[in-house]
Amino acid sequence: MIGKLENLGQPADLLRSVAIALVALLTAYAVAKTVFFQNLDLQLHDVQARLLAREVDFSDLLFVDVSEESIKSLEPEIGAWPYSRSVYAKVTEFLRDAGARSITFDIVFSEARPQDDELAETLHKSSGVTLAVLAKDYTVTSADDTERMLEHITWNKPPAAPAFPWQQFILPRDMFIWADKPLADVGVIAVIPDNDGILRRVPVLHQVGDKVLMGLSTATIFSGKPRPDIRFDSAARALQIGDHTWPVFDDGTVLLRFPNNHRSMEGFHFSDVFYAAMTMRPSDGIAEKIKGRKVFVGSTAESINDYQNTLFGRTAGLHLLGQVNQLLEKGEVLAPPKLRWDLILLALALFVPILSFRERENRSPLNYAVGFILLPLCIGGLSSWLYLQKQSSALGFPLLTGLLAFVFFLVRRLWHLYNERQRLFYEKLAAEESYKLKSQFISHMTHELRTPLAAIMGFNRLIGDSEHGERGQTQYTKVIEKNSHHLMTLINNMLDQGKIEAGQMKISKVPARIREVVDDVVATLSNMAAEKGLALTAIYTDNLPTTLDFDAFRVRQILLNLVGNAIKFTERGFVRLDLRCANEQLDIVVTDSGPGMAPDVLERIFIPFKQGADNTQHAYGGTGLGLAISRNLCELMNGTLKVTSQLGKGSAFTMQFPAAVCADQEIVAQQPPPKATQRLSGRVLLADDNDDIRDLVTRLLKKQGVSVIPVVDGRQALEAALREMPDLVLMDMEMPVMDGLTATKQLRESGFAKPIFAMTAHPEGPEVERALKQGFDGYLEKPVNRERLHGILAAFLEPRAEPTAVSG
Amino acid sequence: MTTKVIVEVDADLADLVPNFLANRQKDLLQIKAALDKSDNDALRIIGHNMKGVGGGYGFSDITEFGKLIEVAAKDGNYDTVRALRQEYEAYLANLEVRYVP
Repeated sequence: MIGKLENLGQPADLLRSVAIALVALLTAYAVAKTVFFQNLDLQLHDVQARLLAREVDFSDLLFVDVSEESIKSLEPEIGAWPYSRSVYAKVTEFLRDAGARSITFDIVFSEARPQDDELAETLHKSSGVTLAVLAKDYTVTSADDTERMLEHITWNKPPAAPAFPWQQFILPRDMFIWADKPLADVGVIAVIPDNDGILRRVPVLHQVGDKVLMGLSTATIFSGKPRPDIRFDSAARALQIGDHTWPVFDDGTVLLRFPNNHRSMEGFHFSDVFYAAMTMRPSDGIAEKIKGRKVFVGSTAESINDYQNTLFGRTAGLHLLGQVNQLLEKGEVLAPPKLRWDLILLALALFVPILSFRERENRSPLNYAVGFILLPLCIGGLSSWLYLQKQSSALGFPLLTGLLAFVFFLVRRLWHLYNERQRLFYEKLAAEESYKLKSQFISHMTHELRTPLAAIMGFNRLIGDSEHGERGQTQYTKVIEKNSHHLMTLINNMLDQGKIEAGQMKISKVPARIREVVDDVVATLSNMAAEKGLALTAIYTDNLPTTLDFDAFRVRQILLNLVGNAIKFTERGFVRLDLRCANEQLDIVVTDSGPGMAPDVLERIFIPFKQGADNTQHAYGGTGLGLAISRNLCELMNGTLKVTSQLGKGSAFTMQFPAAVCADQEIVAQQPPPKATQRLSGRVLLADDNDDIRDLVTRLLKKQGVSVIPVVDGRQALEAALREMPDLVLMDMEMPVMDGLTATKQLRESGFAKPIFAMTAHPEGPEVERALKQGFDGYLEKPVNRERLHGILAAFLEPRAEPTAVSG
Repeated sequence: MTTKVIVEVDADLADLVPNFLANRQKDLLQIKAALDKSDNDALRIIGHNMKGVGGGYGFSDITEFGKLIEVAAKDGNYDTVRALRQEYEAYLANLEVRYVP
C-alpha cells in the first residue's frame, strides 16, 4: 500500500523537478550572454587545456632568431637592422645547401631594399622557401601589379569554405615570388586573439574578395611541394588542403590543442647562422643540425616586439609560428563543439541535481553534498574525455546550468522544510491548546460531577434520619433522582465523546417510527418547558412517512440535547420542532425564541469542551460536549448539523440525515436482555490485623466467587502482593509491623499497578485524602458494607463465566 | 433489667459468630486493663476496633459502643468509658443471635 502511494507521488514530483530544471536552464542561458560569463568560460577551457596538455615532438623544427644578441653581434659587420636583402640571400643559400626541409621567413619583404636582386636570384635557384604576407583590414595604396600577382598566387575560394576576411593583402615584392614561375610560396601572418587577448585559434585560410591565401604556418606545410588543391567538406565542416584535413569553425579558424613542451623547441642566433654562411666563424655543427629540419627565420628581439599571449604565457611570434605549424601538420586541433555532445553534457548537468533531490525519505544533507561534488566531476570528466578525443565541447554553460539547478532544488527543499516546520509549529500549538482545553475540562468536570453526587449523598443521609416525615423523604428522593439523572447524563456524554474520539461509536439503523421518537422527546422535556412557561411543539408535514430506517436511539439523544439546550437558554416564547422528509432525507429543525448567538460564538459551540460564553458553564452547567457529540453523531449518520442564529432573534438548529422509507411491519419489538446475577472471578489480597474483619471479609469475598490471600500486616501484604500479583488489594490502614499507607507506597514504587483500596473506619478524615494521594485507588469504609464491597469488586474484576446448569 | 437483645445475623456467618463473640469478651478484659493503667491510647484503639468490626457482622450496636468509647478515650474521659464498658458487658450478656438465611 505504502509502495503504491509512493508511486502515485512520483510523476507529480518528476514534473516539478523538470520545471525547476527548465527554469535553471533559462536562467543559465541569460547569464551566459554576459561578458563576465564568457570570460569565465574561456578561463575554464584554459584550465582544462593546461591540465590535459601533452608533449608534441618539435625535434624537426629549428628557429633562426634575429635576437637582440644577434643584432648586437652583427652590427659591426653588416650594420644595424633591418639588413640588406643580400644577408637573407646568403643565409637562405646556406640553409638550402645544409639540407633544410623548408625555409620560412617570418619577415615581410614588401618594400624595396638594397640588393633585392641578390635575394631574388637566390630564390630563383631554391625551392621550399615561404615568405610572409601581411593582411590588413583597411586598404592602403599598393603597386599596380599587385592584382596581377594575386592572380598567380591565390586560390579561388571554394564554395561555402570559411575563411578569415581581410580588406587587403600586402605581398612581398613581385621579384621574390613570381618570374614566369613561382619563386617562393607565401603565407599570411596574422594572429586573431580572443577578446581576452589570448591566442587559442588560428585561421587556416585568409580571404580578400573571392581569393584566399593560406596562413604562413599552413603554407609552410606545403612548401616546396606542388600547389595543393583546397576543398571544403561542408558535411564534416572540414577544410581539405592537399592530404591534410582540419575541422574549422565558421570564421575559418581552427582551435589548437597546445602542448606543454613548447620551450623544448631549438634554434640558433641569426648571427651564428650568418657567420657560418660566410664561413667567418666555426659553424659548431650548425649545418648538421639544419639538415632535414623545417627552419623558421624571424626575430624574438624585444625591440621588434612580436609577442603573443597564449595559454602558456607570453610567446614570441616566431616561436608561435613554428609551434602552430607543427600542431597543424600533426593534426593537433580540436573539432568545433558538436550539438550532440553538448546536449549530453547539459542533460548530465540537469540529471545530477534531479537525482540528488529526488523525493525520498531519510535523504540526508550528505546526499546533496555528494551530488554537489559529483556534478562538476561528471561534466568536467566527460568534457575532458572529449578533449582527449580532439573534440571541443561546452563546459561553462552545463556547469552553470547544473549549479543553478542545484541551487534552485536546494531552495525548493529549504522552502519545503520551512513550511513543514511552520506546520509542526502550528500543530504543536493546536496540541497544546487541545491539552489545555482538556485539562480545563477535567477540572471543570470534576466539579460538575461532585455537585450532584454531593446532593445525592446529602439527601440520602437525610432520608436515613428518622426525624423527617414521609413527605420530606419523597421530596428528597426526587432531588436524589434528579441529581442522579444529571450525573448519568454527564458521564454518558463523556463516554460518548471518548467513543467518538476513539472511532468506536457505531450507528445502528433499524426501521422505527419517527413521530414516536419526537413525541417521546417532547413528552420528556414538556415539564421542563412548562416550568419556564415555554410552548414546546412539534410540527409534522402531512407527507411525513410513518416508518423510516434510522438510529432512533441516537436521533433521540441528539434531539434531547438540542431541545434541552433550547429550553435551557430560552426565557420566554417557544421551542419548536419542524419535521419534513423529502428524497429519503429527513430534516429536523429546532427553533427557539431565545437570546440567539453572535457569529464568533456560533463558530465555537461545536468544539468539544467549549461552550458559548466562558461563563455559560457556571450559569447553566453542562459539559460543553452535547453539541459536539450531536454534530459528530449526525456526521456518523452521513448527515449534517447546522445552526443559524442572530443575537436577540433566537436560534435554529437544523439536522439533516438520510433515512430510507420503510413499510410499517418492519418494526421488530426489541426485548430487553435478561438480567443476570453475576459472580466474579479473580484473586484479592486482604491485609488486616483484626481477625474478625479478616474472617468476615474473606467470607464475603468467597461468596462472590473470588479467591482470597489473607495477610495480617503491611510487610506481609507487600511481599504477598509482589509474589502473588493479585487482581485487587484491600488494605487496612492501621496495622502493626508496617502500616497500609507505607506498604501501598512501596508497592507503587515497585511498579505494582493493580487497584488498591484502603479499609478505614474514618472515611471523612484527612487519612483518606492522604491515602488517595499516596497510591490508593479508593477506600472501603468500616464496618464493611456488602453492597459497597461488591461495587468495588465488580468494577475491577471480570464476571465469572459459569456454565449453564443442565438438569439431567 | 434483663431485657434480651435480639440480633439477626446472616446465616452465612453462623460459623464465624461464636469466635467473634469470644473476641468481644476479650474487649471487656482489655478495656478493664487499660482503665486500670489509665491508658487512653489503648482504649482508643480498642474502641476503634470495635467500631470497625461490629457492623460488618450485623452487630451495629457494637460499632456504636466502639465509636463512643473511642471518642471518650480521646477526651480522657475514663468515667464515661467505665460506664460504657458496663453497658457493653450487659449488652453482650443479654445477647441472643438469630441466624437469617
